[in-house]
Amino acid sequence: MRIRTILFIFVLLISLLYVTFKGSSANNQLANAYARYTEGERATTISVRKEAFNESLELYKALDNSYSLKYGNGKLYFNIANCYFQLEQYPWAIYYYNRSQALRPRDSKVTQNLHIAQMKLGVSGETKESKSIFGLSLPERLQLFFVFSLIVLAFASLQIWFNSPFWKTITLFFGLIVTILFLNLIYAHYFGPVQGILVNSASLYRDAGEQYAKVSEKPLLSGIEVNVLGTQDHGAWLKVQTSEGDIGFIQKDALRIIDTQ
Amino acid sequence: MVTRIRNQFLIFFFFIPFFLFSEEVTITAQIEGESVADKPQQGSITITHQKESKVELKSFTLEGKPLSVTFQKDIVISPDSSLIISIYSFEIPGEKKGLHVLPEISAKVGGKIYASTPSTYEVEKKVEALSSAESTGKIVLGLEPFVEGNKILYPGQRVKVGYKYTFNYNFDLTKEVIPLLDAKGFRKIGDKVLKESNRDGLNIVEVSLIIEAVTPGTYTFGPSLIQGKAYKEDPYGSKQYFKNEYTSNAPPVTIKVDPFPEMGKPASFKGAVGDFTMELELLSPSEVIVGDKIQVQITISGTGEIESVPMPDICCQPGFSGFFRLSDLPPVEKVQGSIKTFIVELRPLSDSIREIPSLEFSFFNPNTMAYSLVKTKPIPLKVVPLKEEPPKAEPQSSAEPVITPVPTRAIEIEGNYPLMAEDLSNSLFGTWWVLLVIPMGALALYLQFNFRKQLDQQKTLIKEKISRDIFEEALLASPGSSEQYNGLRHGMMLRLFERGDINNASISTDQLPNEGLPGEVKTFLMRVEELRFAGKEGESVDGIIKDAKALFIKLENDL
Repeated sequence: MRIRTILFIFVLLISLLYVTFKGSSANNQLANAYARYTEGERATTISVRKEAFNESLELYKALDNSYSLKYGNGKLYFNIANCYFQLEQYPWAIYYYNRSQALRPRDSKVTQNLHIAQMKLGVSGETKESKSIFGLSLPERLQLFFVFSLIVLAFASLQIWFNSPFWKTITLFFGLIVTILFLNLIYAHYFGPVQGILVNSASLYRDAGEQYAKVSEKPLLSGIEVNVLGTQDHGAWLKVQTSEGDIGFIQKDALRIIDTQ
Repeated sequence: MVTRIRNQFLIFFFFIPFFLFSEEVTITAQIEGESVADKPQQGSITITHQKESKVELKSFTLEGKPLSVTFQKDIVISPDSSLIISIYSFEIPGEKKGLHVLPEISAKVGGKIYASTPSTYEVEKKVEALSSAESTGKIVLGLEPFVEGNKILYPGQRVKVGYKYTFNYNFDLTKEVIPLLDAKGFRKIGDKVLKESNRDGLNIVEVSLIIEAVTPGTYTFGPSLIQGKAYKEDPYGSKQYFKNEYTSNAPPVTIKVDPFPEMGKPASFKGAVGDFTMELELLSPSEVIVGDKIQVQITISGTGEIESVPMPDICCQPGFSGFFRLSDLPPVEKVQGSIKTFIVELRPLSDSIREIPSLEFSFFNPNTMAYSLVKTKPIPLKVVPLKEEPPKAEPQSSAEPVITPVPTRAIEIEGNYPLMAEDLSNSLFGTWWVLLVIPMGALALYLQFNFRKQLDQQKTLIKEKISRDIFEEALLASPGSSEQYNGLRHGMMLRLFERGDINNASISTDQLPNEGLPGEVKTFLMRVEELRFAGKEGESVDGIIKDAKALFIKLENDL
């Protein structure tokens, strides 16, 4: 019994140390990245500025690779987008601004910067204010679903123990809200459009291959948003639809998908 | 009477299928191929019959008159079946143009006469030329090369070339030498185009191709040759070849590509051939910051080889080099009819720029055999400098090169968020794992529901135990004591309540019903009261207790 207790405490301590260490290491990296970014902003020459932004971008990207923040608060993506913007890599900036906006739909900073980046590329600002449903990001809707589910669970339990029309009515009411939220999540996940941003200009072909005719002689410009309809050739080619309704195929390297749902 | 008619009806419909199945000889006749007016019509007769039933060749008749037929072949339907199909051909005199009826044709098969059903056929108009070619026996096969347009070209110019095939019979070609369609030394534009027509009974097939001159020189194609055998198709689709092989030769074709004259060739000439005009248009705002992207559209229109017109060289023209930077991407080209447009992206490199300079475009006009030059008008452009001033260069020794750092632009976007370690984690309950609340919640509710049900059942059991316990306790009490009598009464009343015979266990004995078990309990309790208060003789305590037990058991068992 004593040995088990000691072992348990030991494992707990190790976990605590690991979390603390990891957190402290991440804090250092974040601080460095932020410092380099602000250094770039204050730089008076292009070469110094580029160097600072590049270093900041490297640090932020390393953190992005280490932490899967698909359900995070989107601030890291915003900072990465800013770095790309400062390095005049506007398609990548637009891509990361979109990823940030999916997680921060009500943040005007993100919307504003995205708009400026799109203006830089001459991309039409047809981007919606928010890609979210009910103005909420996916993590927020999941949290809402969880909270309402707990409420329904509580009231349903009261109904079991006290069997009253009042509890039944409240349970049904909140149950309806939970059902709507659940159906909304499932619909958005399985039937919602998959969107992507072109990070490189690409020609739109009629079928998956460069030997096919092009849908239009004018290539798709980088920075525009398209709907991804499917893949072909083991994912090497993507079937997309532009905002003008043109459907065709592009190579997968030209596109990055925005994980919104 | 009615019964007899009904029976005859049944026999008729019952046995008809048997008659039909036993009738295994069928004859069909039809006219084969296309029927031409005043020309004998070829036809075929198909007879399905048993192998043993022979078809009499001389028994065929058409409208009562003997019909001469030629046996073609027998076809066995199946190895397990004795049915075969015999095919015969025949010929009837020609008819006028229009719709006609082929009357029934009868024949004797296995000693019995069978007939086909009449059918219709249409006779087309006579094709005199073909019939005249056939009557004279003349078979025509011709090959003719052609070049539409000039045979003297300049590089970039296009011309249509091809061959005309002329024939009046079907041919299987055994040899085909047509070097004009290979057009070595030229660039092929598009695919070969096939055009078919008919003139004076002759079929003409034209195969053409558009080619573009590339390199100056004299190109000779040919001589050309086609060789093959003519054939006719019989009504069964088989080819009947004529004996001889036919050949058609065509002389060589020469196309000359002259080089552009050197005299008078402008520096801006890049190979455009025709007669054109050019316009330049600014597609983006006319006020920009240094380094910002601007778009211009160059529109070239006119007669000539518009598709191969190259874009004018902007980079090297006066006023552009050093002042504008071109995009690395090639410009977007679009051809619509006789107009070609180019959309070009530029970036002004200096705020001293006041306009987009005039752009020069030159082309060679093959009609006048001279070069022409067109220029666009300059387009005013305001270039605003960057806000920050460039840093002052420090004095350096004469041996070291002077490097002027490029100044930065103003920050156009809002700055970064200062992040903490907490920003590197996913939202609490913001992942798809929260959906586990559904099965876990359902499980929790299910467990609660079951637990509640168990508790309810236990309460019911407790209730039952109470009446029994009270009765047992009463039996254990001192015999004949008021405690015992009260306990017995209470236990029985409570039992009646549990059974649902009474609404309240506290009612008085008088209020009990007189019928059934409640009546028996009422009678018993009144006996007890009489014994207790009236001192009734003949009643003993033991007897009372014994009766009480029996009655209580009855109350428990009789549900």
